[in-house]
Amino acid sequence: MAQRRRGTLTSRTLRALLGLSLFAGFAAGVARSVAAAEVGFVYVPGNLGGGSGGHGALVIDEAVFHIQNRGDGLVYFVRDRWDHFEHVYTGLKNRPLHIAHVHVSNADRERILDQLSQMWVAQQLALAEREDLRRDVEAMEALSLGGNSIEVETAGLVDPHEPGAAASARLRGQLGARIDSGHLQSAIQEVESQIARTSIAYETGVRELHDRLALRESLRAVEHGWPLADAAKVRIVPAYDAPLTLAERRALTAYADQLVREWAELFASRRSDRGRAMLLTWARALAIQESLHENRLVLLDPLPAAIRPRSRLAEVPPESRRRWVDQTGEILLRTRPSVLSTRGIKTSRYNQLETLASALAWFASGSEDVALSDLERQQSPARTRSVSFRMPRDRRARSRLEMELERARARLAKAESAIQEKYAYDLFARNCITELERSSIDAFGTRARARNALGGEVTPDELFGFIPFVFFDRVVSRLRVIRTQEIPSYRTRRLSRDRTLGARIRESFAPLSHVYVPRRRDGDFLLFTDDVFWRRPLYGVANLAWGSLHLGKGALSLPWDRGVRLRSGFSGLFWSLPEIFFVNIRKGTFDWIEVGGSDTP
Amino acid sequence: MRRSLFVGALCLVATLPSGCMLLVDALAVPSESASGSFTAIGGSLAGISLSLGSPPSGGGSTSDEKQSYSRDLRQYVGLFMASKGTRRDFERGVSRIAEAHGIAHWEAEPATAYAIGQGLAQAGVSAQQMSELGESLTSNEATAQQVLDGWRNVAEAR
Repeated sequence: MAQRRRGTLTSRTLRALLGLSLFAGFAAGVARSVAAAEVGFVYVPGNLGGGSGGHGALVIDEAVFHIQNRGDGLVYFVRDRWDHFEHVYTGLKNRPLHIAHVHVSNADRERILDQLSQMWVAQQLALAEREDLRRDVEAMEALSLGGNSIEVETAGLVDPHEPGAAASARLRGQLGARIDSGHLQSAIQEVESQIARTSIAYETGVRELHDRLALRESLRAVEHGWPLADAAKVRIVPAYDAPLTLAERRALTAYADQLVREWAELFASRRSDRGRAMLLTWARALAIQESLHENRLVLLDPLPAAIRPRSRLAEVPPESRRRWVDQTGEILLRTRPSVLSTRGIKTSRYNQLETLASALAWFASGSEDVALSDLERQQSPARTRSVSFRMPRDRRARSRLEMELERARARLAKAESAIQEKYAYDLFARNCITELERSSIDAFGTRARARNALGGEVTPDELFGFIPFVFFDRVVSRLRVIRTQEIPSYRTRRLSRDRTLGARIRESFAPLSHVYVPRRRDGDFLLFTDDVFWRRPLYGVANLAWGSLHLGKGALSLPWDRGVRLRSGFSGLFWSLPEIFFVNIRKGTFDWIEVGGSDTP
Repeated sequence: MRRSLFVGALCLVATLPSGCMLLVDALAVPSESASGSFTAIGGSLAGISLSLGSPPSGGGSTSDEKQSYSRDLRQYVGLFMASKGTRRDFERGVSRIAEAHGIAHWEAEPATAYAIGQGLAQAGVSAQQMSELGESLTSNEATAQQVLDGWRNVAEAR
C-alpha cells in the first residue's frame, strides 16, 4: 500500500512538472485531438501505480476531461490539455491510448462541454467551501483559546516588520496621482472600524473578518510602504537566469503601471474579497520594482508557505532529477520572451512564469520532499500571515464564540458529509468510468436525447459498466463512432525504431533494456509481457520466479532497507499472476521523457 | 423565501455608501420576479464597470483560455442561481473560478460581465428581469451592455 501510494504520488509530481511545461506551450503540439464535431472516448489500459484497472477520459478539441482517485477516498474531476495527458499516460506511465471518435453536432458538443464544466465548477466550489469552513473552525478554535489573530491569505506576501522599501515608495508615488494619502488613511480607519464591529457569526464564519483584515493589510502595505516578504520571492536559478533585456524592462515597467492602475480600481471596487486581490496585485508590482532594480527577474513564489511534503523523490535517480531541472529551465527560458512581451503582459501568463520559476527552484534545491503536487498550472501566490486584531473579550463575546464554534463545526461536518455523498470513490458505483458515462448522459437531460446525440447509449448501471475496457467496447459498438485510433506507449514507440532480433531480445528483458530502467515502484520483473500474447503465460511464469527470488532477497535485507526490496519483490510476484492467465497489467514506467522529443507520437 | 432574500439584499444595498459607480443603486428597484441570487449577482456586477475603462491586459492569452473561463463562469452562475447565496458568496465563487484561470482582478476582465449575462440566460432569467437590470445600470452602461449582450447571445439562440 505504501509503495502504491508513493508511486502514485511520484506520478503526480511528474504530472505537475509536465503540466507546467506543456501548458507553457513548449511541447510540440500533436494534432491527435478530435475534430470540431467529434467527441473522443479514451480508454487507457492499466499499469501499476494506481491505474491497474485501466482508465477513461473524454477528449474534445485540445481538452481532456477525466476523473481521478487520488487516494483520499474521493473522485476528482480533472481537466487537462491533450498533449499533456498524452505525454503523461503514453510516456511517463507507458500506457497506450485507444480513442473512439464519436460524431456529434456542434450544439451537442457544446452541451457536453457545459456539463463537464459544471461538474468541475461544482466540485471546485464544494472543495473550496470545505477548506473555508476548516479555516473558520481552526481560526475560531484559536480565538476561543485566547488568541487575537487569524491566518490571512496573501497577507504574507508583504512584510510589516521590515522598514519601508524604496520600491514601495516609487509605487506609492505612482498611485498618488489616483489616490491621495488622506483617502487611503480614511479607508484604513473605515475598515478598522468595520473590523471592530465584525462579529464572528455562524452565517459567515470568520470570512467577513478575513476579507476585512486582508483589505486592511493591503491598505497598510501601501500606506506604510511595506516591502515584499523575503519568503514570498523566488528568483530564477542562476543557470537559467539572464539580465533583463531592454524590451523586458519596458514590458515590466508597463505591467507595473497596469498593476498600480488595477490596485486603484480594486480600491474603488465594492467587491467584498478585494483585499486579497489588492495584496497580490501590489506584491506583484513590488516584485517588478525589485526586478527592475536588480536587473533580473524577481517573482512571487506560488508554492504554499507551509510545505506539506506529499512526494518523496528519494527513489528517483539523480540523473532523472537533473533532467527535470534542465527541462524546467529550458521551458522557462523559452517561455520568458513570450510572457514578457512588449505587446503587454497578461497576468495569467505571468502567473505561469511564477509557477515555472518556483518549480525550477524546488527541483534545483535537491530537496527530496517536493510539494509540487500542490501546484496547479495556475496558482496564485497566496502566502498567509497571522494578522492580529482587537477582539472583544467580555464574557458574552466568549460565550457567543463558543456557540458559533460549535455551529461552525457542525457546518463543516455537514459539508464533509455532502462531499462524501457526492464524490466518494466507489469501485463499482463511482469511478473514472461511471462518472464519464453519467456526464455524457446528463449533458442532454434525458437518456433519449443522449441516445439521439451520441447515436446510442452506454450507462453506468449496466452489468460491468464500471470496467474501463467493457465501457470502451460498448462505446465502439453502440455509439456513432466514425473511427478508432490507438496511440502506442512510449516503450513501444522506442522499440519500433530498432526491429533487429538482437534488440528485440534485449528489450524483452527489463534488466537488460536500453529503453527502460528498472524501478522499485514497478516491482521486480524479468520480462515485458505487454507486447506479447501467446508467450505471455510463459513469461509470466518466469516473472513469477524472478519475483519470488527477489522476495526472498528482500526478506534477507529486511533489517537494513525497511522492507523496500521485500515490497518490490512481492509486487513483482503479485503482478506476474495475471500474466499466467494472458492478462497484462505491468508495463513499466518512466521518470523522465523529453518533452516534444523524437519519440513524441 | 425568494422575496425575503431579495428584500434582504436590497437592505444591504441601501446601506452601501453612495457616490460610487455602483450597479447596486439600481437594484433598489423592487422586482417581484427577481430572486435573491439574481440580486446578489447584480450587486457584484457593480465593480466590473469600474474597470472597464482599463485597456485589455495585453497579449499572450489564447481564446481557448478565455472560452474556458467564460464557460466556467456561465456554469457557476447557473449553479449559484439555484443555491440562493448572498452577494458575498457569489463574489467569492467568481474569485475562485477567476483564480483558477490566473485572473486576480476579474472585474477588469471584459469576459466576466458577458459570461454572467450568458449564465443568467441559461438559468432562465427572463427578458423582464434583464430589462429591469439594464434600466438599473444607467450609470454603468458598458457593463449593462455586456451583460445584456451575453444574455441575448444565449436567450435568443434558444
